[in-house]
Amino acid sequence: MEINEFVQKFANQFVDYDVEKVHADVKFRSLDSWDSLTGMAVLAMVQDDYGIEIKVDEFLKLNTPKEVFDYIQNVKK
Amino acid sequence: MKTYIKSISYYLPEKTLDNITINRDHPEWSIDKISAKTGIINRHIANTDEFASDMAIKAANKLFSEYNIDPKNIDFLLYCTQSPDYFLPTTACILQEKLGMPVDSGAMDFNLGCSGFVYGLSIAKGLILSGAAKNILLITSETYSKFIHSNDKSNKTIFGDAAAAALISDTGDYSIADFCFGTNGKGAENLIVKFGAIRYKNDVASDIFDSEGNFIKNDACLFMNGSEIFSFTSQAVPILVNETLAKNKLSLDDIDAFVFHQANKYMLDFIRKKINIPAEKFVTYIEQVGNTVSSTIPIALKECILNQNINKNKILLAGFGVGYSWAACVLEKNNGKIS
Repeated sequence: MEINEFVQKFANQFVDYDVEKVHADVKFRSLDSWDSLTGMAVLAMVQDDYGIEIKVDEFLKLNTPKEVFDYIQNVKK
Repeated sequence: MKTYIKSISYYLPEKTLDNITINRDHPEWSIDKISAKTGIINRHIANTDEFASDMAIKAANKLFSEYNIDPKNIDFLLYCTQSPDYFLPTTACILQEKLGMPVDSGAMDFNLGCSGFVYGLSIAKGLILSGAAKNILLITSETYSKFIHSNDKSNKTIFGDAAAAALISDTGDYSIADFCFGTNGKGAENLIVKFGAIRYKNDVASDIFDSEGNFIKNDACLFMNGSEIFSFTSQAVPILVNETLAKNKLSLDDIDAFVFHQANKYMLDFIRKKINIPAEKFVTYIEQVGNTVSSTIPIALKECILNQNINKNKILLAGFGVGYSWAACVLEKNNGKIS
């Protein structure tokens, strides 16, 4: 599992003007276009591409793409 | 023998609700951000004294006059609504009389939302192929606005009212090929108006808020769990599309246009990319009407045939949502005139 690829997939759930602002350590909820629909799309991407279902209350504790990436890696171990 | 969608018309109530008004009523709601995501700028809202059956009549009369159809030639009415006039009698019986349909015709209501038009096509096809009827009027009509609480800014943003009327017959422009269906009652509570029907007929509901004072729901009003619906849709719809293609012995590339239930633009775009449907084949028609529930597909189909400049020999329709209920089918162009 590769972090750069993950961050790109994460970024792709945002609208165009925010995609370039998404890097591994960005607090994604502070991005302008962040909303619950983006959140759902991220969770759906994680389910589809990494086979992991992150529950909403767990997701609320994760604040950067890197933290989500680490969470997925921990679950997979 | 084949069955065909011969013609479609639709009716939108005169009153509109735009984003400026929603923003004025809910200044904390970043409507621009939301409308950029949902793709909705305007919705039509039925008047206080205008009901789904009234809109159904208007849509049907538009169909009759646009296409020179005599209601006396209709032998079956299928009426799809979740807003019947009464528990009984069947609203379709009332429509029969008001539309001037003959007394030796059949008429029935069926209660479905977002999947309703596709289910309606399947019932119509069955009636025609069995020889039970020849000219079927399929009407979808919905007034979700009457279920939505004044504090419910999310549902206010998404839903619009509308009615659509289609003539299904044994001659026409688009033949109706094969269907796939899906149902999962596990999703029942995720899109629901809980009180008011028989199970909770006289129960009194109260407004429920979260710890920050945000309105969550009122059981007498429409409740939608957006994240559950998104999750269900993103799982079920790709499977539905693949199964429907397989049943019709077609590949994704064979389809010239995809007309999905117009839930909201962001979710549709997500699903489109997941299925790998090219953007130019994917019909969206939501900006000025919102999510009109069972009428989204016939309205988008009408606009897709009339206004879009793409080759449309094979069309895939997919409806999905409240229930959970879902269904898809393929339409194939007859080599005749397009309506």
